[in-house]
Amino acid sequence: MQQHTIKYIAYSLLVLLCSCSKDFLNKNPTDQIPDRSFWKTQADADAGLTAIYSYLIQGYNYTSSTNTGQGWGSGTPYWETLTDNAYSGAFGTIATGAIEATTGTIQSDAYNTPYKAIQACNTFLANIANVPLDAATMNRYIGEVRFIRGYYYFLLTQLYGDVVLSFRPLGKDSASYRLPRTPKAVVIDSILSDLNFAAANLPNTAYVGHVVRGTALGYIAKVYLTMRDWQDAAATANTIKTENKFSLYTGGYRGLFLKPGQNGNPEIMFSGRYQVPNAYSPADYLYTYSSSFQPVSYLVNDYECTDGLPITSSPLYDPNNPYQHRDPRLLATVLVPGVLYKGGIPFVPAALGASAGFLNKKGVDSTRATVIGTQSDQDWVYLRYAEVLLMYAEAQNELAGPDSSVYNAVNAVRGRPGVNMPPLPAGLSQDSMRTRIRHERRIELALEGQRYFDLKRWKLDRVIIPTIKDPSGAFRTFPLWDTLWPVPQSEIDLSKTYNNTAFKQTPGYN
Amino acid sequence: MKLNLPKGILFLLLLVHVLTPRAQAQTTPVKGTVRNEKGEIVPGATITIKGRPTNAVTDQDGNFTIQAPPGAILSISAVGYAPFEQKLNGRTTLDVVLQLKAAELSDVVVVGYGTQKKADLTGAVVAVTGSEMNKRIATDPTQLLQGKLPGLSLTQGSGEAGNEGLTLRVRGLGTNSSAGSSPLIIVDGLPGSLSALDPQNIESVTLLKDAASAAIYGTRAANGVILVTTKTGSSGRLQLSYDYNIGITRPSALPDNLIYNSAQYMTLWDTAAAHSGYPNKFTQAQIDLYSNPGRDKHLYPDYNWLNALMRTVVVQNHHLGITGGRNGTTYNIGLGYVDQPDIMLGFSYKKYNLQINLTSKINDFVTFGGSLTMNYSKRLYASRGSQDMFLSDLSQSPMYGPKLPDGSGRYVNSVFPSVQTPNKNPIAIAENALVNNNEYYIQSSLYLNVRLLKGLDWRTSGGFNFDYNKIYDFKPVINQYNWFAGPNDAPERTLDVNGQGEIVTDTTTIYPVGYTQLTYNKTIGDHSLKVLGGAQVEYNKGQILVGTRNTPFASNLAQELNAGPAGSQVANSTSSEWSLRSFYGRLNYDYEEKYLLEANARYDASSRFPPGNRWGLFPSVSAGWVLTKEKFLDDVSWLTNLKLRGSWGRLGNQNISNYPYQYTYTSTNSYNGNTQYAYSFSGNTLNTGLAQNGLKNPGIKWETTRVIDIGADITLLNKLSLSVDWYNKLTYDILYQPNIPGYIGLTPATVNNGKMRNTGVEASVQYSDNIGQVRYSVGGNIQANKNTLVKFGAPQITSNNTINIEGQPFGSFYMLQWVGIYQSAEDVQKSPNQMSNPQPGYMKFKDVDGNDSVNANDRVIVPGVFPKFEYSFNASASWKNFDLVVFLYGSYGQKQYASGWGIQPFNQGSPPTKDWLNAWTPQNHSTTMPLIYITGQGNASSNISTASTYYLKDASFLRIKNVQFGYTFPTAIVKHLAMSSLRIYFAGDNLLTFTKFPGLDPERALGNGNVRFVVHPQNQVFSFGVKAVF
Repeated sequence: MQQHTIKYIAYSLLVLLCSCSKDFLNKNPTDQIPDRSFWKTQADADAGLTAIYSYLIQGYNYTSSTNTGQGWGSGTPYWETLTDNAYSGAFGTIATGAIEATTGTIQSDAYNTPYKAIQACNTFLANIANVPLDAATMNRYIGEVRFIRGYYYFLLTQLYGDVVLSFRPLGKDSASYRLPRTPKAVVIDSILSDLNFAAANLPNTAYVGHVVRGTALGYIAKVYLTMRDWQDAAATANTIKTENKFSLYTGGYRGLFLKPGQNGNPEIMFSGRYQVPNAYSPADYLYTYSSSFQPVSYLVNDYECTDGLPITSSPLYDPNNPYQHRDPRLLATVLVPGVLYKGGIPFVPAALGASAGFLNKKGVDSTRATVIGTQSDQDWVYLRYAEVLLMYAEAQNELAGPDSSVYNAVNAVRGRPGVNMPPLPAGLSQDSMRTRIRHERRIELALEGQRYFDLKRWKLDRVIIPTIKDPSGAFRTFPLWDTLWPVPQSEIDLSKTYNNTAFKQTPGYN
Repeated sequence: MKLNLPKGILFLLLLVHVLTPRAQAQTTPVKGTVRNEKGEIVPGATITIKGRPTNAVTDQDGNFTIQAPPGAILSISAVGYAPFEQKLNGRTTLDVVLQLKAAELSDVVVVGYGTQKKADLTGAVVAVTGSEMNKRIATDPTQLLQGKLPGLSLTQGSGEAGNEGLTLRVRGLGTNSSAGSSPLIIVDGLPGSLSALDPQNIESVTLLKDAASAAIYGTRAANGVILVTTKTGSSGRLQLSYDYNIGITRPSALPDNLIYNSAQYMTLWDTAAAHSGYPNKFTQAQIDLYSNPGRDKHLYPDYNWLNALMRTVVVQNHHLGITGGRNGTTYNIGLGYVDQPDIMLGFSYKKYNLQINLTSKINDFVTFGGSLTMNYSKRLYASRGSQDMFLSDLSQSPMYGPKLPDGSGRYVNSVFPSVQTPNKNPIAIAENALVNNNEYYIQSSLYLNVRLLKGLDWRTSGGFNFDYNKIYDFKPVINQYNWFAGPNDAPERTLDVNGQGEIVTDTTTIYPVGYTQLTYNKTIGDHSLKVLGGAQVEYNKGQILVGTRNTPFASNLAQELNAGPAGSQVANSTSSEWSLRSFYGRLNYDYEEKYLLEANARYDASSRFPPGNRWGLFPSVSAGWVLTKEKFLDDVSWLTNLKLRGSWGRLGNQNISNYPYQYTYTSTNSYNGNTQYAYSFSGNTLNTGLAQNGLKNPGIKWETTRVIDIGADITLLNKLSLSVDWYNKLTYDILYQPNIPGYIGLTPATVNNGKMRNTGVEASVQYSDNIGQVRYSVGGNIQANKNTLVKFGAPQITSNNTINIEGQPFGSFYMLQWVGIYQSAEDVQKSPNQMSNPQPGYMKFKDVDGNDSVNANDRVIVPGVFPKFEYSFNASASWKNFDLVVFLYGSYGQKQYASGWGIQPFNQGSPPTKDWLNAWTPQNHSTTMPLIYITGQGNASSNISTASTYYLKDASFLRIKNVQFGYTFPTAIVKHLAMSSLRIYFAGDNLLTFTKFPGLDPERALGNGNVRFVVHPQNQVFSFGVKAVF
């Protein structure tokens, strides 16, 4: 080889090495959008809004290695394992009633998930003004986001009482790391302010996937009910009734919870919407494959016979055929032995180790053959018109006693198409009516994640939970302070890391 | 056991025999004797003729005879002696005197961007030759470094084929950084992979331990640098070599005391269930089915599930080498094949490797060369990994086997599902549902060296690594039945194959690197000067494409995505890039080779940092003093060499996530990695959501490690060599993702915070001598390191029962102190309050804070997360044509937290160990075994399973890592086979282990992180090998 050829090769190598462009060291993510390029168009606002809604379906996902999300999305029924409606062996001590700062699972998920959604809401609200939108459209976006912020703060404050309250995105400044827990009363005011803004600015139509005025009003009623503000609760629920945008579904009770009946359903006011294969839920697998979630006999026995009498007094009740002549909602809600499931296999509790004897059927598609990873698409319903009627009945009964509007509301739910339970007997006292309404709530909304919060606001948790005997034979316990939860121990440890002396554990858990 | 001896070997031998030219130039027999400088005869010395395949070995009297042409150059070598060459010049007798090797002082060691005489080193550098490494057999050459390089700690996580979980640490855990603490690996001058190489192709491996030697690698050198050099050819006739090894491989340890007697198991279960308040029990009728001695054992077995999953396998290694060269061009080509079935059913690993090295000296001024490694490997494994297989196997009860007794081949789910539901059937997984991982890897480099002036060299090198990885994860639908199911019974469940459908993942990485540098050497009188300066650029791009069909396929036979239902298909892809630009330089100066001085610096810029913080300077200086070159030591004849060394320097670490400083909006949710911020408002179309999911740090910069090293190299009487180093390594501005309060709702940013110190001592000693005709060499290494977290902030308690707290080693064990077992109700009452309503037979924990109540506040720090020291011994001896090598490796002072299957009884039904037969009962007041319980059920389990020192096991061990016994056939015999040499050997790996660790192998990933007892065991190998040179 000639000397100059070698030099030529060497020089070209050298040129190659040093000729890299100025941008050689400027590398940016290839699948993400720089923050300075975002919040420019309405499409950005839509994408931001979508991300916030996606928290409504961040639930139990068996295909994930982290297995988080009990209590969220299709994992919503897990709240009821803390009541006399259901049992979960997967929860360890929490299922027996003892909730500790170190318990984990639903206890830490319940804490962390809402704050992630709230942070996304606050980021949205801090930036939306940069997007050129007309005032009405702008307020509709803000209304939706403030609704979701209020919704998550409401969940948080029911569990923890005082919570960290912020209306701005956190994390970039050191003050973010030293926030105290704001008193519950202030949090409730903020929730009502968010929900009222939403109610005033959202379209007054049926629910179409985006929240509407009725959704916001429903949660306002719920907040008032929780605060025992019967007057405002009854009035708000009544507004929903009179505005007449929602009605009870006529396609059958069970159809409310399965995909074919859900799109355009007049009863559903708020739900988490799934779609396979990208946004699926594990519901069918989750509730039939193992027995990590089991309804218990306390719930099953509380369903009346078709004559409207409890099984203890109804002549229709046959202990040998205990599921005959019962409120139709029983077999629509609970999978009992012998009924076909998993695409046509008879349910034998022992074959699954379902020691409580039952599995969940509400929101579970029995025609679907399930294996690990089966993808389900049924929406998880968080608020429906039947609950508005029951909220109205409960508030109005407390306010004015069992007047005809109370009877009408409860009987509408009992007599709903496909259920047709007889109306309540006339002449009930206020106390008896209260018992009847509470019973009706338990039955109508069974396994929808409501009863835990109902027991809390009725202060019945401390009464009922210690009477529950689990399949293991042990009774649950209820340490008095459990009506409020401890924040995860890791949060207390972290408050010390950041010298956040204002952040304290829930009283009773130190 | 299946033995697959390839028929090709015989054919190959025949072919070589036919092709090898036998016609030789006129030769005459040359006789001679080999002695050492003391006049002692040297048996076993090898005599070769340069450029010819012929060789001879001296007999026990030191005599040899060899056929050689009159003008030949004889080259004589023997273990422990310096090689010797002699031109015959027509002589037919030759008496040779060999000099004992002066501790290899004249050896040249590979260092960063060059080589250096070992005598001139001032930094802490150790090296091992390929031939030394290859005294053991391993499929991944990284494994061969264990115990060979003082300062390097190699932990093999498991013996899983192709997935050994090797952890390399240079001088302790250098940092708790997300940038990692693994050393940088350089192959033939460029960043690369050691694992991809065939061990036989390795010429040498050098470890740069201190800042002085490593600083030339700048921002990536903080955790040490490993330099690998592959073999280049040697000039002369084409030489063909063939290596074959066959190893019978079995688990190094398995629990041998699990209760696999069904009746005993069921009875114990019922006792445990009673203690745990668990309603599911076996009825007496069920137990009777298994206790009747006359029963049908086919239907009512005492099935040992360990035997079903674990097996003895035959592992084979082939290596074909071709080397040679002429007219300034040399080549070395290696072709390797590894066939490694795993000791765990179904798992396997195959690797095909081609290595080509070429060097060409074009003229006196120009040399160029290159190396190319091509690798194809195929690995089969269960999608949830080997640990999951192991624990699934242990969760099975002895009352049934993996397949139905009716001979239908159907897989079993359970036998009495109302009592227990086991984990997935591991045999069904092994036979049907394995991930198929294919990796295609190329590692290449090319260099051009131009001598511009006398002493001035210009070297330019470039190359790239290319990695293409294709993974098929097919998830068949497999039904599992009850053990007693009839032919028409429905399955109890379908096998958990970690999802359904199929996932196909393509990962591609391209990684080009290039550098150009000038070196200048100048000697003026007693002053020697060497200057190096260069520039380097690197770029790395990784791309991932994942295709999924998420519903079951119609058939398990067609396993491409197109065979599955398209309605559930999802596609994902992403890519990422990083780049580095660097300038580096080195200055070496010495005076009379007595006073040595070296300075290094590197100036690096990384794309991972914001423009203002991009550049970092990493300097180092070191000095050496060779005392034996001083006049005052001239008379001390026993002291062959004494050198003192000292160094100081700074190194960097930047190996964090690629984009730590840019705030972005992303569609990937941090909630759980596989979900998107997507939502279907309509229920029909999916909308894409974008959000910020994490905090970023616009002020981020690299982390820095400062190392001080003081060392000495000593050689006594030319026989004993000793090397000692002390170091103090401080890492600061640690790149760390701290936990942040949950109410912030975002993943934390990476910040520069924290300090960690490692101090330690390393020593190695080697002694070589002979007794009569036996030449021997013995030696050992020891390394002790102390890790301390200097600055961290408030303590962090992790979910792995560890704590990160200032003043203690990182990740120290943190748990309750187990103090005994409650012997009576009175004992319970007298003791401080404990959680879980304790009963007699429960565990008692120490009330450390003395407040009469035991809770999380009573956890204590327990030492033992890192070994106090690691050590190794080697011994080798040769006599006549026999040679023997023994290698021992040990580790002392570390503990492993071991819980779950195999330790705790009835974890998912796992059989208890026989130790539980002696568990606490009201009659048997055991002080070591609490009452038997069902893990995960009731207060008994809550109490006994509480993380405590009870589960902390002493994992110190000393093991005979390797013994090899070889025989080299005399040339007279071998030449009839047209070979120039033939050696056979028998070897054993992991032959014997001395440890207190129960049941399984103590050598596993270090404590922090893994809390399970079950880990894929290491391998015990009995192998036979042949090395033939033609």
